[in-house]
Amino acid sequence: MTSTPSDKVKSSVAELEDITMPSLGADMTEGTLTQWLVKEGDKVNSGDIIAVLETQKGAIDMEVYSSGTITEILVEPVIEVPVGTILARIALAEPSNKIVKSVVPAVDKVNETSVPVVETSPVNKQVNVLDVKISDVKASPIARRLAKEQQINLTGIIGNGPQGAILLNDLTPLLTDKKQLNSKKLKFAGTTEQNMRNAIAVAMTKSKQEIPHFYLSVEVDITSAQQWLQQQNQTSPPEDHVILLALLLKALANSLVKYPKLNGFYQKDISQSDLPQGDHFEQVSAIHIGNVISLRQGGLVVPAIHDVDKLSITELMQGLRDITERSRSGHLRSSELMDATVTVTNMGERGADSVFGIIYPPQVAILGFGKVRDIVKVVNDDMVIAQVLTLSLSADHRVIDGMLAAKFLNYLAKKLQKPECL
Amino acid sequence: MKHKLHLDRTYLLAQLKKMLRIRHFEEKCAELYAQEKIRGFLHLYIGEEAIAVGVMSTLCAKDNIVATYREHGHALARGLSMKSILAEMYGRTNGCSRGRGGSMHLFDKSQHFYGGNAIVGGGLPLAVGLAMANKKQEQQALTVCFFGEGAVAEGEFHEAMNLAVLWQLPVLFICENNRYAMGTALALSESETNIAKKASSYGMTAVQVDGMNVVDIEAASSKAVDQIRETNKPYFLECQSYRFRGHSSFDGQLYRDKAEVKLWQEQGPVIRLITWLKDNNRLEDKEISSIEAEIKDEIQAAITFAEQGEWEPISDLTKDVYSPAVSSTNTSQGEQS
Amino acid sequence: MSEQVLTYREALRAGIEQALIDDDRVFLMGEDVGCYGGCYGVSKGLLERYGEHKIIDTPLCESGFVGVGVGAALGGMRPIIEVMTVNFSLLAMDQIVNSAATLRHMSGGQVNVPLVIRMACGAGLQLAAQHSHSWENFYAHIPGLKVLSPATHTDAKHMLIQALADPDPVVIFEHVMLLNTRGDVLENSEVSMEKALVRQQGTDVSLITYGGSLHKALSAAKQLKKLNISAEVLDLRCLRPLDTKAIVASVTKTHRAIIIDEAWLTGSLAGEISAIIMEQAFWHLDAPVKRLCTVEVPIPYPSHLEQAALPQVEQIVTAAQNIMVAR
Repeated sequence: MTSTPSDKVKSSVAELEDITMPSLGADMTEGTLTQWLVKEGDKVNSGDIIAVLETQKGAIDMEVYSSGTITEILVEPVIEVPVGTILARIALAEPSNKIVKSVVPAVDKVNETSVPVVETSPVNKQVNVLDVKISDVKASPIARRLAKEQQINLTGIIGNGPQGAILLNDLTPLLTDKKQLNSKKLKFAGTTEQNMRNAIAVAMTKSKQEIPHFYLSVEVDITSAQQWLQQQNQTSPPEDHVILLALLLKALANSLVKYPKLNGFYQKDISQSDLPQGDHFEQVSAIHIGNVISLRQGGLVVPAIHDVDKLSITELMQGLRDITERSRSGHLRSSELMDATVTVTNMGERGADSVFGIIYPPQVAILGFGKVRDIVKVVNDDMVIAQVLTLSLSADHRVIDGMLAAKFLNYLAKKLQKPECL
Repeated sequence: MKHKLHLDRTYLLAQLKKMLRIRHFEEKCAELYAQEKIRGFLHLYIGEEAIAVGVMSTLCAKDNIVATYREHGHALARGLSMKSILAEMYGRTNGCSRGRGGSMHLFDKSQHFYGGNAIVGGGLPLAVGLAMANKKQEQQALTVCFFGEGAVAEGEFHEAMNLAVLWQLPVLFICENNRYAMGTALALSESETNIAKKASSYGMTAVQVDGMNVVDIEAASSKAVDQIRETNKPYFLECQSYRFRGHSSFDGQLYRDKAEVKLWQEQGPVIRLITWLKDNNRLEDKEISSIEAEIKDEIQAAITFAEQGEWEPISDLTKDVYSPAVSSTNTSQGEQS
Repeated sequence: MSEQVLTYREALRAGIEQALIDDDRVFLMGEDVGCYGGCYGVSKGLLERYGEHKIIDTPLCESGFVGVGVGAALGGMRPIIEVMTVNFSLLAMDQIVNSAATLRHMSGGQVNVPLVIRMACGAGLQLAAQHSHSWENFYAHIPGLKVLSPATHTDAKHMLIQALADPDPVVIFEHVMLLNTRGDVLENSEVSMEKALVRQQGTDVSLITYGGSLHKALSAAKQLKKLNISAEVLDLRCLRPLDTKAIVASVTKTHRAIIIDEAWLTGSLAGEISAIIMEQAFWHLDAPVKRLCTVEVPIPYPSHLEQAALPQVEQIVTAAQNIMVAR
């Protein structure tokens, strides 16, 4: 698990645990609870999907991280709340020995009748509905007024009006009885292209402004890797074919084991955010590789494949297929979006020779894979045709130096020469 | 109830005083305008005082008067107090129209003084209508309508002439022919410059009279009033006069020679009456001084009164747009949620 | 309440007659109101019954006789002035706007003008470009005037009487397409002349209208009911002052408004009403306000073109369907 601040906050002497709005990325400050998939009294197991969230990156399934019984649902959809807001409580099936730290004290007293966006509560001012940005949402005046009065977030609600405007009738199901909502099938907009564009813009601008990037690249001969892949795929059915990207990811994971300084998070010191002294790099042992996946409707998502260093090539290939499919159908898990430790962007298929990505904070490195090209190469005074691609690296100079980065790239290139060992 | 003409010394002195009162009031108005105490348009009656004084002298209290935007003299001669007139020009609530009208819209219902109408020709149908009301209610009042020769070119003039004669209504039309409609000379605006002749074509008695001679005017008006009361028919007087000042306070008077103005001034109504009285040993300079001192005091009192007048509060802005009894319903203005 | 069935014309006449009987100060004056019986026959027979003292034919001089009416009102009478049609009223606009509407104010409240000016208005009789106007908005613009638009037979009779009881000048517009229609005339007025009336209750959309367009809105409401759209029809009745509260109340209930106004779109009362809704009912709206007005062309003579220019029932139905499209 990574650094999301407070997925769990222990709240009482009983074995109760708070379920909070998770942070699914460095750029996520609030999320919208659009639907509960559980009700009070339901038994859940760690990893179960218990709710649907709407973020700037689309609808995301929210998992529960503990096993037990849902005792209280504290917040009713549809509502936008800041990361860390307590959404529900769970009575743990087994005593917890997890470290409890209260990072977000703001919303710690939510009772059954009040959702945490009560305007009069000073500690909640950041979630005042008045502050919710609705400029992108088209809604009729009365829809806006009722949304404000009823503390309903309009983001994500499908409008049936002209130009997709949210009208009174689109809100009616939300107004009648919020408690009945769990049984109602609500329609929610998929991530709009504009929302995603905005999210990308915010995250990438922040990254480029804050992170001192530097770039280097090597050309790597993948002739042997390609030959190996051809052999492998000859004997397996098409659905089990391995692609070059899987080899690249696997080689990357292995290289990161050797060079762990590229795998982790650059953490800001929250208490003294103005001063860099408290910032530090947090090396992570798990290797979760985020993959940039373009969506057909435009925009992109970066779901992670977990523990790549521990996966076989076949498992890795399955993982790749799985996240690609779920990215495009909008069923990514929250953990997949929030805990990548490093990111790759694979431009090869689209024909760019190389790509230098922008680091996705708080990560410190992003690998770019260019397209496979044929070149003439001199080997033992002979000219031979070889297949190469450009491996590029954008790295955070606050954590990584050029020499280390070069060594890492060369190591990775070397690993690719022996695909059978991956 | 025939009007009797008086031509004794006391009466003529009184008429002189009335004219001087208008003259000096108007001169003071020009001064107050320059001092920005009075704003808007200011049309002075200097040179034409004999008409208002002469005609008003022949009217009864219940007769109606409809005047123009050059009506200070008419209002004074009719009996509106100088104080209330000046306060009106100051825009104060103690003005005769509570400050809402200003120089061009002096009203006093108690004196049957119906404005102060600043659309040239617009007052003519009103006067005919007032006369119609009097006739229908069998009241023995008549309505006097003052207007300039410029109005004669307006359709409303002809419509009013026609209706008044057609319906035989008791109206005394007083055309104050001061020879210029703003800056347009009579000959440039009328195919027939004898306005009385034009009016007579509608079938009523219409005569020209020397508008610079207060006695002649009173005599002519007296005759007219008598006839109207007797016959209930309209009557038309064209008073040939001259405006010594510009059309309004801001007038370069490019349209006439100074020599022409001087010529008329020498024949002015005030100087003529003074000269006549002096020539006949009926007026001493000290009497004039005494009259002027009285007028000066009255003007000073009027200024004090006007200066002390209240400004109407802005909260009363929409007052008197509608009658109060039924104005309680909401309007579309000023109601914003 | 007892009632009788009359044509709109007869209802107007009944109002005039009642006024003549009730108040000796009342008289009717206008072009051809006497011997001819009124251009549209409204005053037919009145001269014979009430005499030339009460029913006064005038020459063709709108400014003159309207001004005389203003003067007579100043002098204590209660004149009913008939200006044959609204197009001719432009010739009397000076007296209506510069005299009738201003005298009370200019005199600081000393005098008032209890005058009623009636005029025919509206298109639909193939009277072409100079006799088919809807210029209620011209007069509704003027502080000091009150402007009425009786759309029902009861209002045709009683609004005149209410107007005569008012101490200030009132302009009444009588739509020519209503004259021959028959309808119930109640013995008394339903409500004061300055109140709007809901003629059809509804919950989905407010059809706000007046005068000759009221029956179109009511027909549209019937059709809409079959389409499962509940339209409320608000008859404004008084165009100055507008019954703002009624407008806001209806839109607050339905959240949607279509204004049907036979005037040309630009500068129309429909625009004014729309602005009132924006200012006072904006947060109740669930759809943009829609105006259905006459196409901006001088009214053409051929019937098919004339009808194409005017707001029609089908357009109201379509507009309501469109405004409800998301339901």
